[in-house]
Formats: sequence, C-alpha cells, structure tokens
Amino acid sequence: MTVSAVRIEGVSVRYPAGRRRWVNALTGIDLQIAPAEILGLVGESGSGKSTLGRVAAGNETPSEGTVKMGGAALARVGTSAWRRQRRTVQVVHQDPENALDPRIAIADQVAEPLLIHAKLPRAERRQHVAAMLEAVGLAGLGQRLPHQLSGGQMQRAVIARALVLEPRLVVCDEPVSALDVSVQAQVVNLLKALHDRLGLAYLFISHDLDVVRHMSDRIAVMYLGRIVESGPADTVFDRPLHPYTRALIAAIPVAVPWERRERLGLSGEPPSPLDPPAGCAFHPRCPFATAECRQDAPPFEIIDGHGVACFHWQRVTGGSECP
Amino acid sequence: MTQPVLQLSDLTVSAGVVALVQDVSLQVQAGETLCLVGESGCGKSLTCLAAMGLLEPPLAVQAGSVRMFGQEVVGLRESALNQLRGRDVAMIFQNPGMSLNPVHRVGDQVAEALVAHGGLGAGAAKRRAIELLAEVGIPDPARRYRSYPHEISGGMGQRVMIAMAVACRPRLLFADEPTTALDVTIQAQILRLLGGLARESGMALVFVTHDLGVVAEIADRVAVMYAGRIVETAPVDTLFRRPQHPYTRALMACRVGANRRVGLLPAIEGTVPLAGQRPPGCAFAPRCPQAAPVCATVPPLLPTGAEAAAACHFAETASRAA
Repeated sequence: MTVSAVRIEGVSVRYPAGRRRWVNALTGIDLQIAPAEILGLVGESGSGKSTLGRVAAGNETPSEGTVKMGGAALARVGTSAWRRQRRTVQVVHQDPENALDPRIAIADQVAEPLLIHAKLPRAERRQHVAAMLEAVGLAGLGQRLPHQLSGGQMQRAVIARALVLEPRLVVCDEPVSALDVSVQAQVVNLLKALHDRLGLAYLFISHDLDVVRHMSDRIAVMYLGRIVESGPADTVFDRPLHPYTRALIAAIPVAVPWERRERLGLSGEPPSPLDPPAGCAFHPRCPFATAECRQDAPPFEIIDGHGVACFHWQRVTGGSECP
Repeated sequence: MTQPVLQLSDLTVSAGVVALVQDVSLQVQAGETLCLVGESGCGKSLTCLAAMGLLEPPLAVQAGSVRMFGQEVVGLRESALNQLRGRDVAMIFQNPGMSLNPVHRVGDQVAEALVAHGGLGAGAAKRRAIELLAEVGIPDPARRYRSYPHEISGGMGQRVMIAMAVACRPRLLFADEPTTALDVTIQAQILRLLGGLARESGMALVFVTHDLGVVAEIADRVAVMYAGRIVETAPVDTLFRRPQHPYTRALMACRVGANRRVGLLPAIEGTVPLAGQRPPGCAFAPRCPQAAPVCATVPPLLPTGAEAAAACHFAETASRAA
C-alpha cells in the first residue's frame, strides 16, 4: 500500500471558551489523502473546514488523535524534524494581498522558502524561481511588488511560493474565493495544470461547490466539526446520502432563469458549537429527523467507498432523487 | 408605461478627471427586480451610491440625471435627500459586520429607523422592530432584539440589515452584494426573502451581484457592466438564452458550474482594466476574441430585441452566427 500524503486519525480540536467550557472545533475526524489526490472539503462557515486545513498542514496541534505526514507522525513543534516536515506541506490562503509582503519583490518572496529549506547556490536558486514564475504565468514580473500586480497575479505568486519546494501536499483554503469570476477560471486551471504536472496532493477547501466538484477526486462534507459524508466527487454530487449534503447541493443557484424552482430550502442556521444539539448535530434542521436522531450521534458507515453519518440515509435516498 | 420608480439618464460619476461610471442609463419599475452584474471595479456599486446621493468627495456626479419617483435628486439638498432615504429608498450593504453599529443592540438599530422615518414612538417602534425581525426569519426575535452585532452570525446580521432597510416599507431598495459573504444555504433564504418582498409589496429592487447563478434566481431584468459602462441589458430569459455582448457570453462560459468535468475551463484572458487606464474605444476589446479595428471607437448601446440592448459593434452579427 502506498503511503498517504496525509493521514488524520481520530482527530479532535478543542478550544477553551472560559469557565471550564470548551468549544469542539473538530470531533473524531478520520481522513486521508493519497499522493496526487485532490480532496475537496465543503461545508458552511464555522463547520471546521479551515481548522481541519490547519491540522493537515501541521499548523494546529490536535487535542486528540494523530496526524501522519508521508507515514511519519507529526514532529514536535520547533524541532529540526518538524522543520524538515514543513517543506512537504504548504498552504495557499484565500486573500493573496494579506499573504504577500507588500515591500518585497515577488521573485524574492518566491525564493524565500528555498533560502530556508534548500541550500542551493545562488544561480541555481534564481533558475528555480524563474522556472516557477514561468510555470504560474508570471514570467518577467519577478521584480514587481505585490501592489503592482492584479488580484489574480498575486494569487499566482502565492501559488508559486507554495510550490517552489515541491511539497507533497498543498492545503488550498478558499484559493479562488476572493477573485473575480473571469480570473477564478484562470487560477482554477492553473492549480489543476500544476497538479497534473507535479503530482501534488491538494486539500481543497471551498464553500463554492461548483469549484470543488470541478477540482476534486474525492469530497468530504463537514457539519459542525464532523465529517458527515465522503466519497468520490461525482458520487457525492449525483447520489448524495446525507440530508445536509442534499440541502447544500440544492441551494446552489442554477444559472437557468427559466428553470427557477421552489426549493426544499434549508431553514435555520448551523447551531453554535458552544451549545451543540444532542444526538445528530443536524437534527434541528433536518426534515427526516426522528427521536433516535435527537438522542444518539449516528455512526459513520462506509458503503462501497461512500461514507455517511446518518441513521436514515436509506430513507433519505429511497424517496426521490436529489431535488 | 407607468412612471419608473428609478430612472438614471446618462449618469457619469468621476473622481477628479477620471470617469469611473460613464453614460449609465437604466430604469426600474415598481415590483421589478433589476440585477446589476459585473466584476469588481466595473462601477456597479458606485452607480447605486450615486443614485442614493451617497458619494463622498472626490467622487461626484459629473453629468446625467437620477430621477426617483419622477423627482430629480442630483443636486438635491442633503435635508431633502434625507426625506427620501430611509423611508422611500433604502440600501443594504455587503458586509453587515461593518454596517451595524457594534455598541448598540441590533433591535434598537432597527427601531431607530422606525422612530426617525416612520414617526413611531419608542414603545411602538420596539414592538414593530420585533415583528420585523420575525418577518426576516430571525428565530426568537424578542431575545435577539437585545443582541449586539458581535453576538450574531453573518447571515443573521444580514437579516438585521434587511429588517432595517425594509422597516418603513421603502418603494425602492438597493441591495449591494447582500449575499456574497454568506453560505449558499443562507443565500437561498435571503434571496427568497427579498424576492418575496418585491412581489408582495411592489417594491422595486436593484440587486448588485457578480454571480450569474444569483441573477438567474432573482432578476426580472439584467444590466451587465464592464469598465464603468453598461455593455448589455435585457430581460433575464433573453440574456441567458441569447447573450449578445462577447463579455456577457464569456462570463457565462467561464462559470465553473457550466463546465462539468471538462479539463480546462474557458477563462477570459487578461484582467479588467483599471479606471485610469481604460483603453480608448471599447474597453473590452483587449480581451475580446472578436476585436477588430472598428473597436477603437466606443460602441453605442443599441437595441438588439424587445427591451434588450448591447454595446458591441458585432452584436447583430453575433446573434446571426449563434
């Protein structure tokens, strides 16, 4: 069996919330990403997507559970083993303007990871940086400062900086959400092309389900700190098992004005993680909820590689196809 | 045709010598929802701010007129504008976190609109504010009335903004990207809410967005803006069935949802030109696959069908080819 790019087992993350109270940001997460696989992570804001991204990137120490990168357990923060691990995983954040230093030329920012992690002669380092800038479509713009670039170009620079060390895993946290529609497509294409060429694994976090479907091999759906459904991207979109996944997909606006439909709209909002409902966290908003759902948390069942945490998934899918 | 609720004629907004919005003409009838579509910097928000009389120097209306309910509002004194704003005309902004006052209870902020513009006393305003919070779908409104903005979620904050905006039953509502910061499930709820208000109370709605999916959900009519000008306007069905302007077509083509399982998305090469650096002639020409020498002159917005118009030298040709 090949070694996963990242393997997360039984991970929970808790934060103190004053006076012996805790917020469970993540609860019992099991997730692995194979080499060169793209895993899409979806869910509403506050569902724990970004926390899980930070755990996968080794930037957040879980309260429980283990994280393995390339087969090795995550080293203690600050040790030299930890530093070596850092180069195998990189992050692309949502807002490139905040991710770049406004006073440093693009080429120097792309060179910085090489300075830290790879002892290369200067000429070779320059060559590396130039090749990387060319790969992201910024050839000849290396001497510019961030403010001299457009939003799309800045995100390309951030991507170049993340990939220059040839990491095994890149955590992309809403990488195109801050970009204009016409530029989004350019950056999505770039991320996909670099994936195909370099064989990277992505953890692709986005609230835009269309983008996630386009990018991902597999998808995991999160609700209030738990994974409620996971499976191959097309299976999850075409045959969603969890009522929450169905509601999410039904809420995507469809650009066909003559097919406006009355939706099975989801009412209410995600509950506060400070005061989570008993049983299945989705039951207050779920049209299928029964007494059982109010009492016990449903186990995560896996049927033919398609996982779901719902007592009633057979009843949910038995009625009708996804609206 | 009845008198439009809002009529912009050749509106030009500039900052000093740089024109940011140029020659924008549009009208909205009672009960109608007009979507203003475009990418950042195209002037869609500025158009709304100009219509509301909310431009701050150096921004100013340089030319053109804005008529609300038949009355010219450009050059109107602030006190006269305040008679309209809040009561007959209201606006919802994108980010509720920045538009709600952090040190006042959200309910009091809704009630304030009712006291200032609706002529209600404090007690009546409070009761009405709680009703309004319930109307916009806030659970347990009497308790939520007492919440501060930081205690509520973004989706709930946006509902509070909507409750404030519709408190005095305005006849015209500007909504500037009201769902952009929200999750799809909450977005669907807000769209239902605003659509219902327009249908039931005959309110005219100007809805600014960059998301064509949202447009398809809520619009009666659409105006597409690029680099400060309206490049195409049409009833929503016509626009989606037969887009005339190459920019509209490109926007539709590069929607990720329109391209299931294709390797490469059709992207629009290049970027939107900055306001000071717009090319002479058609501003879209440098990114346009159909660009020709004639595009060095600005194409006029000419009719392409019933209530539809496009500003492209090839608009007619494009429809025949399609």
